[in-house]
Amino acid sequence: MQVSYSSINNCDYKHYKCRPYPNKGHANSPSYTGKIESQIFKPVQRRYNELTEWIANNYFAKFYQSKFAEKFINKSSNVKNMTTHMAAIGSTLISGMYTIRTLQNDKLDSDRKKTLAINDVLTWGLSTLGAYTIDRKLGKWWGNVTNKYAANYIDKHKGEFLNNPDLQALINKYAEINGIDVKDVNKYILEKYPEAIKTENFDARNINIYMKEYNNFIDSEDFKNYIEKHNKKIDKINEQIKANAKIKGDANPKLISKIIPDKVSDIREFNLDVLKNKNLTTHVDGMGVLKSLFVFGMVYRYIVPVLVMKPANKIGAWYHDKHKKQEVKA
Amino acid sequence: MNLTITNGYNDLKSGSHSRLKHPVVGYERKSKSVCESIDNSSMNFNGSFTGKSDTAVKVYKDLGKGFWDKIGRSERFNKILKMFEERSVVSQALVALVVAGILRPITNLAMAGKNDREDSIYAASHAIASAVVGFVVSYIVMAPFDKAFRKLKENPKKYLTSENLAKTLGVPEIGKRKLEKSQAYKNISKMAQMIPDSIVMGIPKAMLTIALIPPVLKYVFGIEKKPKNAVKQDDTQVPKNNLESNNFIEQPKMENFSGGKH
Repeated sequence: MQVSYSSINNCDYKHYKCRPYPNKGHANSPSYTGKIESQIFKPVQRRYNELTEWIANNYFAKFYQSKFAEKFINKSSNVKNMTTHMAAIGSTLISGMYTIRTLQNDKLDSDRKKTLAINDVLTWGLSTLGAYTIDRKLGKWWGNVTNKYAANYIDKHKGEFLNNPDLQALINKYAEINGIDVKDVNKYILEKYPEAIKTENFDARNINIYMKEYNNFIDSEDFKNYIEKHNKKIDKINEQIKANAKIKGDANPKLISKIIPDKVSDIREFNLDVLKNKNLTTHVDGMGVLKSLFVFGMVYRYIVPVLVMKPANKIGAWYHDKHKKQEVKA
Repeated sequence: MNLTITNGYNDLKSGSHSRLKHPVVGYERKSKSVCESIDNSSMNFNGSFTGKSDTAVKVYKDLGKGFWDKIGRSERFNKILKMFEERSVVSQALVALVVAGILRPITNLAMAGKNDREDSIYAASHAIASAVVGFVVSYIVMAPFDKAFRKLKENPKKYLTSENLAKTLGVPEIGKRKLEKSQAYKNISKMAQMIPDSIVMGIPKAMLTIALIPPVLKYVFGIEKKPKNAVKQDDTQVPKNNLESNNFIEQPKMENFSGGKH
């Protein structure tokens, strides 16, 4: 079977399929499905898949379900940015290793060991302190950057949000309990927030207003009263479900969850509770990791070693020289 | 843009949602009540929007027009964000690649004086080599771990079977969306992701990186460190030279720093 260059060139290698030929004269040319490559890589892919499956089962799953994880979770429920702490722990371990190695080095005299060890510790301390400080200081600003990023994402991917059946159901729910028409909602927003973008529908440019209004709604007495009544009804229904399950012999009937309203503190929570877009949660988390890793990377690998420690080393060398000269004189 | 409400009723009825939301969005209601079976007419909520604090909030009137907006809207940037979240260790090495492999050599060369020009060129090459080697080593070592983590993240029910775990994490049951809401899950996930690199393989990986740098420098960059002068140094010279050799470019510690580790 002869495969011409043009036929291969017309293939979509990514999906191992050929596009239809624009030239009708080649309509019956053989298709290039990439099966040969698949056959070669299949065993490798299978092995790799087995390896990752093994890691998922024997490392990740065991780690999550370990006693250590349980203790850690209980003690770290208020910790917000684990990425920074892990970066700092990694740095501490390696800096510690180098400090110990320096101190154990027989080729260096004790003065030199001490100087180098102090240098190691000082670098680590300055870097860690600086990284944490900058990371914390940038928090609020980065939160605003993240909100704007999210607004851009929502604006660009409107379809993903508006076609969300969960969101639609919630909108319907709101309409049911309020009897508010869409025109009234938007009119209200415009009256309350004159700077809001005039819109008939959801507009990502108003995302901060929506978040604020959501929190106000959750905080209102009317809503709280509504929730109280609503949850009492759910209790009654759950009792009925339990009674029916007992008759049927079902030990674990599925009960209806109570509504537990909670205010949102950032775009991530707003997305999880209201917008419910899977990708946006990952991206917003990624924004946080990006900031922290960039700050720690810059401080550990650039600011402290290049801009701080170089001058500090020169000062140290000058001090050491002076000290030695005094010793020689004595 | 009109939203036609077709479904979602069952979602709420089944109790899959634990929170009631305030959709301050435009809509046209066409279906019957959500939770109609629960909320009969006696459930009368007349609470409109009862906002208390009306402090100014930022409205993005110029959304999508600025330089950063265009970056934020690009699919490539979205992929980078996904990578930072799901492949944090490799991302850490990527930051090192940019900072230690590009920024630092540029600064070193820019700051170099006439006397230490040659040393600075060597140091810059060294920094680039260590950053590249660090990134490649991290990428290879962490690839199966990252894939395994994504598997668990996508299907936690398959891997997390312990009955107590949901309670520990503060979620009603193990499920992807439910876990995303748990700060404890977020914390332990980040720890699980980064432990293999930071704690278990951090030091061996750093050593491997250091060991690979000389051959990479020699065969890729064509640079070899010249032997130090065999001139005998007096006491006053020794500590000075030692301190100079302890600069953050040539010492193993900073090689390691620029090699994918903090």
